[in-house]
Amino acid sequence: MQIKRLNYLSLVTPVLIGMVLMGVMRWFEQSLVVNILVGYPLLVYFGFYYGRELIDHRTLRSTLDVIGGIPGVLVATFTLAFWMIPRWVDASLAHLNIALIKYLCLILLVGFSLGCSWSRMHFITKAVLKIEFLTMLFRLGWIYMISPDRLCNNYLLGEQVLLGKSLLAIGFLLMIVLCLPLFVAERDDQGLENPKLT
Amino acid sequence: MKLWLSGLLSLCITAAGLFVLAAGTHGYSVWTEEGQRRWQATNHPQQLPLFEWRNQHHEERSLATLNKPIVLLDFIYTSCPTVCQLMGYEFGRLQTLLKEKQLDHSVQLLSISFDAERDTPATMAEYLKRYRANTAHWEGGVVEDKGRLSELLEHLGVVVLPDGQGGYVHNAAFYLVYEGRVISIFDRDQLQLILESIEALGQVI
Repeated sequence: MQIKRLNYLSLVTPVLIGMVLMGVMRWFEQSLVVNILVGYPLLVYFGFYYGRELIDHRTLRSTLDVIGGIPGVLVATFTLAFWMIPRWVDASLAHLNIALIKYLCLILLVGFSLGCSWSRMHFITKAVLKIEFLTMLFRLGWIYMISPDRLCNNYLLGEQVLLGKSLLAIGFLLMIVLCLPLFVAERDDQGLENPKLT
Repeated sequence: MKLWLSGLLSLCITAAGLFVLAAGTHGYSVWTEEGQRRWQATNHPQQLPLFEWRNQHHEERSLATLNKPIVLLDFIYTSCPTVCQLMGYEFGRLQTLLKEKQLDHSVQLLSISFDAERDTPATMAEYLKRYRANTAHWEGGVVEDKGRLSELLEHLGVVVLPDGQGGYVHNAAFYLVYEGRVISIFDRDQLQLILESIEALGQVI
C-alpha cells in the first residue's frame, strides 16, 4: 500500500490505529519490560510504517530530500534519548498529558521521521546507526541490570533487572542477525542501489 | 544546495536536541524522579499540604501543634522487615547525635506510616520503643484520612508499591521540613549531611 495522494480518508486509518495504540500503551505501562520492549517499539514501528509510505509522495519529495536522511535520524535519536530518561518515564506514568506527548513524540518524531529518512540514507550511515543501536542496547541493558537503586519509582527493582537482561539478550540476538550477512557469499549492496545521497 | 541545507539543519537539530536534553535533566544532573524531588526541594521549596495524624499516645496532631520549627520526616510501615527498620535505627542514632549537640529541643523527628490498613497508634508505639525513642522529640503517626495521606505522599513523590509478599516497596528518604516547607531530601545514609543542615538552620533560628 502506497499513499500516492494525500487525501483525508487515507489519514483516518492511521489516526484510528494511533488512538488504539495509545490506549493499549496505558495497559502496557503496568510492566516496565512490556512498556519498553513492546510499547515503545510498537509506537515507533507504527510511525515508521507510515513515514516510509510518505517517502514516495510527489509534492513532499523536495521537502523530504532536505528533512529526510541525517536530520530525521537526529530528531529520532534525541527524542528517543529524552523519553528513555527514567525521570520522564516516571513523569509520563504519573501525568496523562505528559504520557500523550510521549506517545505522539514516539510515533511522529521517532518512528515517522525514521521512516521518512531510512531509505534515503547512505548504507554506511545505516550501518553506523545499526551498530550504535546495538551498543545502546548493551549499555542500557548493563546499567539496568547492575543498578542497585530503582531508576523508576513506579517499578520494582526485580523488573528493572529483568529489563536489563532482556535488553542484553535482544542485543546478542540482533548482533547475530546483523552479522549473518557477513558470512553470506554474495555481497549485500542494497545501500548502493539508492544513490540519492551518495 | 540540498546537501548543504541538510547539513545546516542537522547542526540546528543537534543544538536543539542537546538543549532539550539539558533542560529535561537540569543541565545533565537530574536523571531520576528522586533526583528531581531533591532538586525541587533545594531550589524551590514548597509548602507541605495540611495533614493530621494520630500519634502513639492516640493524640490528634498536626505540624502546627508540634511547635518546633524543624521537622525531620520519614515514611514507614511497622511490619516492614528491611528498609523501615534501618530508617528507625538511623533516626535513633540521629536522636542521640542531636542530644549531644543540644539541638534536640528545636528538632522534631516524625515517622509517618503509609500502611493505614495495618498500623495503629499501638504498633507505632512498639516501633518507637524498639529504637528507644525519646517520644518528646520523636513521634510516630498514623494518618487516618486516606485522602490526606495520598495527597501528602503524592506531594512528596513517595510511591508505595505492594511487593507481592504482603509488604511494600517504597522510596525511603528523610524529608527536612522547615516552617512547613520541605527544604531538603536526604538518603538514609546521609546522617552527617542531615546534621550539618540542621546545625546551619539552628544558627538561623
